[in-house]
Amino acid sequence: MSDARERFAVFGFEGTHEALRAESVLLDAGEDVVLIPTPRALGSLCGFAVRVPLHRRDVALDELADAGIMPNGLIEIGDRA
Amino acid sequence: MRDIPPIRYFDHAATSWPKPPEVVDAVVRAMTEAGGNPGRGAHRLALAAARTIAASRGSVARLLGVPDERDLLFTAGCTHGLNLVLKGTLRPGDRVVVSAVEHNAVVRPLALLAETGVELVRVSADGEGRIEADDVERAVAAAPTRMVVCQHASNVTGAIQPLGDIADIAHDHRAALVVDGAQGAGHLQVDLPSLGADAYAVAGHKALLGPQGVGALYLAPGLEPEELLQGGSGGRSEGAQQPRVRPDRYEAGTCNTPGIAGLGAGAEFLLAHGEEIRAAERALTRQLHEGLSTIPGVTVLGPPPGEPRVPVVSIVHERVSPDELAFTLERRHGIAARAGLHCSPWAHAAVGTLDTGALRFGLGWGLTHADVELVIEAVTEACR
Repeated sequence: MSDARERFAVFGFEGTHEALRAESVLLDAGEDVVLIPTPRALGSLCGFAVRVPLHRRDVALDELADAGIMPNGLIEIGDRA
Repeated sequence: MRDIPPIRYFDHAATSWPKPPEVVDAVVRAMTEAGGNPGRGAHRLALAAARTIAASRGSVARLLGVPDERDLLFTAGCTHGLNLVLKGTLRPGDRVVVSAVEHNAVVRPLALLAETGVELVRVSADGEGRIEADDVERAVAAAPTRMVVCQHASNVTGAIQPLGDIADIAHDHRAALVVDGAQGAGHLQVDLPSLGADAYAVAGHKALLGPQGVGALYLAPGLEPEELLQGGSGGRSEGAQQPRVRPDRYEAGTCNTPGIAGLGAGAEFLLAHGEEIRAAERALTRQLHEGLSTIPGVTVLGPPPGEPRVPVVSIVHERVSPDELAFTLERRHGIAARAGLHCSPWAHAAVGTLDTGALRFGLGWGLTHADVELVIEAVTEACR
């Protein structure tokens, strides 16, 4: 069962291709990744966004940067599931 | 009632058949397990569809040597890709050098553009359908040129054009090289960065062994044609402007996910078996070419035996017309081949068959030496 207090970082991307690449890179790096419908607060980027636990945000950003991927948006959310 | 002979399929240049079972399975999976709308949601079926397209893009990009998958766009076919890059790039006053053996997929959009003020300069072919790089050089050097358009290989003669040299010439004169790869990719090993094409359009359903209604277009970085279609892309929905990011910019509307899945499976099949398939095609083509050449009254179009060609062998007979020959071969022996002009009147004009057309045998995956032997015997019999 989810911890209701758990918070997440959500990365938004300009296109589906980048979002799926980001998911792949982060999965390969062993991150706990979930694709979610893009939260409105991210603006209207592509239809889904990449969610990781908040405490992994900076590590995930570094992993994405190493792969040449730069998110177009970043927000924090609570567990909605 | 007449016995119907089993089909011997020699129309691969029109569309390949049969398809590998992996291709059929991929199409079915896309319509069942991945039946959502790609990029239009985050539920499992939509994500499965998006992943299917991403995986196919990766497979086709690997097959063609495309370094950045975002530069590989899915289209409705080779004709769509060519229309996109021609109409999206050329403007009144632009000058285009084009080979005189192009398919109507190039000829017709260019004819329309010529009516708007685009200047067309044709480079003639030799009697076997080949373009000389020196002729391209002379045409390009004569005046500032925006684009050179040339096929990779002819769907009539099988001739393979010297694209590497033509790319160097185009780039030396700051022109873009646009290639119709309909008869190239799959039959030939293609590495787009070393080939030098700035745009390369392929059909999914020919030698790439995918379904009909899907294709791909490679656009080199820096070539930014206007998109043909604007519409939903799954993102930036609040804006009225088409997103600029690739591939979304050029893929408005819901993609042909089943077709793309099949094309991706075809690309994977070729990545695994392409070398042996191409070797078999070369051997079968040589056998057919040599066999048909010995039949009295038959002329084989294109490069002579022993010279490189894609697996296309077209013939004319001094007395029996191509359509009569096609009908006889099909009725008596189940041989499926195509008579006529093959949507390529320019190519037929170049080799002197515009008035008669020709009978074309397109070889490909699944054919055997026994099939080819049957064709040689059947043509011999029909032309007695």
